[in-house]
Amino acid sequence: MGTAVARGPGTLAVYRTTRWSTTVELVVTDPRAVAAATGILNRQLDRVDQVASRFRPDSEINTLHSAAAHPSGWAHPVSDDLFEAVSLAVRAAALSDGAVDPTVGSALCALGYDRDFSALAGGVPGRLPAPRPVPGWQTVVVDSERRAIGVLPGTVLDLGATAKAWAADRASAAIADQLGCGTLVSLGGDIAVRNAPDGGFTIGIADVCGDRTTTVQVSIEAGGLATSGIGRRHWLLGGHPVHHLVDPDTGLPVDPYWRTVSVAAGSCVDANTASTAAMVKGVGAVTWLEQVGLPARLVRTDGLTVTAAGWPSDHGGGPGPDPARR
Amino acid sequence: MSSQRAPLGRTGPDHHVRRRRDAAVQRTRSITRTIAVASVSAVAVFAVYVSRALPGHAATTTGTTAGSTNGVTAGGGSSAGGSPSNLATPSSPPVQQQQQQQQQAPVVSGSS
Repeated sequence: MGTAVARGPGTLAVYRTTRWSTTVELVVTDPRAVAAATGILNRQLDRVDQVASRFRPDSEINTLHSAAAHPSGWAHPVSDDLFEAVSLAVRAAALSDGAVDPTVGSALCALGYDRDFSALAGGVPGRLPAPRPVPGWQTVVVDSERRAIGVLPGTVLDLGATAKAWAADRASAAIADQLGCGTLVSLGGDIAVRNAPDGGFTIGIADVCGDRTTTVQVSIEAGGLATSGIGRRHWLLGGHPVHHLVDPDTGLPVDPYWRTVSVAAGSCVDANTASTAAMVKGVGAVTWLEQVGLPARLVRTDGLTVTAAGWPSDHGGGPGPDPARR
Repeated sequence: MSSQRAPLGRTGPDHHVRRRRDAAVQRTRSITRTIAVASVSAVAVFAVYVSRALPGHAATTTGTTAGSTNGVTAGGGSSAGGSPSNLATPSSPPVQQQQQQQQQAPVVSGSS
């Protein structure tokens, strides 16, 4: 169920709803375009859900998992959409030095995250599994000629680090192309922007710490912005607190160095790839973000805020302190 | 110990023995050749099967299909949706909103 809030002629129109246990927000610069834009957005989200959801038995990615149970391990022809989704996930893994690995699906299931996140609210029974590396993104076969994907038997792909951001990129591009208006699509804080108005879209950057949320505001004119953190997506596994950011080397939740990482990039997929990778990389994240040239704001678990690669400091000055030098 | 051979072109029991021996050698040679060809073919077929059955163990280049002759990569992938070699940087970094300009942002990143 969504709501549309038009802020008057010439200003922004905002549509909000809930999907995938998170908030979906659509902002357009032409209030008359809200209805059409909402239709485009929902069709895009339906398609991504149909293709890439781990939680739908009839999703195409689960069909791929079933096919991979055959020991031959052949790559199976898939739809263009699933091929692109998996290709982007493998690309994210390669460009993050393996920090963002799509083969963490089995590890997430072992942690109890085998259902929609809303179903984890009351906690799940079980115990923390022993450390064990995930199969690894290098085992995923991407056959670009046959448009086929292959995974080893037992591998479960989780496209959570890229598919939601990819959906935001797809939806914002489709709306801007078809309706010609400025568009911002936010899926749980994974934000894609097209045709921004002068001065850009204003976005709040939240840092969640327990029941307290602090927010600073920035504006972006194009591309994507994403925030990863441990403040929201966590649950209890047999009474033990766990979260959704898995270290591929152990298959267990990352021991957090950062509480929140926000990154701006040329696309939402790349922003979310980098913000997730930074959470996994820990103390080495700032150096890596500087190397790849993606502006970022990182909040350490003790509250220290650091900025990198051109992200403005919270007080309007230059980049904040580098914790590696402290 | 020595053996005596019948002169060439002469018929007799030895001649028939030699013909049977030659024929047997010929058959043995043919069978050996057939087995050799079949073995090589079987190994080739088995190798193709194994290479396809265990694709994940054939690691290739990362992040690009370069070096792949048939478009198949293990852990490589296509360039769908972005550059295969780097994360795309934004056209401009985010701009801090000054306090006097701040109003409630319609969208928040990181709150859900």
